[in-house]
Amino acid sequence: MTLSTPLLLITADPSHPLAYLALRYARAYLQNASLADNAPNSADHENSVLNIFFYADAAHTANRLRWQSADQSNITQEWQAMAAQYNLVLPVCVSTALSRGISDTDNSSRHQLETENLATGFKLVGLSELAMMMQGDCRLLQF
Amino acid sequence: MKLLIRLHTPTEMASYEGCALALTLATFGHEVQLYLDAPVFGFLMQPNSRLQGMIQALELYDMPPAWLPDDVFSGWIAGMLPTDLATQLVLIPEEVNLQVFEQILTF
Repeated sequence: MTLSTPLLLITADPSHPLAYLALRYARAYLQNASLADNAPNSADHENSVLNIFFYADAAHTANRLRWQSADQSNITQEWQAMAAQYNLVLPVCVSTALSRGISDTDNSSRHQLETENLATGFKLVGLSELAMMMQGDCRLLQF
Repeated sequence: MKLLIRLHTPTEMASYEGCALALTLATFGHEVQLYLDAPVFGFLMQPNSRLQGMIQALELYDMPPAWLPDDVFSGWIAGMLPTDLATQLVLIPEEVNLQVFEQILTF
């Protein structure tokens, strides 16, 4: 069975319940895909791809300086752990990130910002990357 | 992909980012219909606002006029706006088949 690739367009602030729902969806999808990939004679290898794009308020998720009290789960670290486990890239729209004070080394240099605070595992990209992800056979889901 | 993008959040940044996404996707050949909900009318009416500028440019992106809610307030807004902006707006049709859109995004 061939399914279209899910594309998670995450726009919710990390404090929003939808932000956690996106994380849970991604985790469940990747776990299922991983099981399918490991199954003998699996025909679902092409389904293990998951595209993710952080946009608007979701860019806050990529801020490594976002502090959480000990009784709160740190969604940034949870995304980082999942990205490391499944070898994922976590693209974040560069303009929405910069407008929220989130920058990497290159953009800090380009825009004369004092420092960088992009969390490891996340990558600042142009909005065109989202448009390109949508060119293929994808199932777009907004969280 | 055929999309409906609804601008609802009453912040300048949210309305800008939703509209910017619509224009970018249209540039890449996606069919995008904008729907401006009443909470963003304040930005639409501000001369030189980013939202107003982008709505004025819809035709340049081969996008259809943006939908407004079908109510008295929308009619009043359209009458208050400059002609070049008002021509890029239209009341939402009485009957809309939302099934034709592959996804509905809200900002």
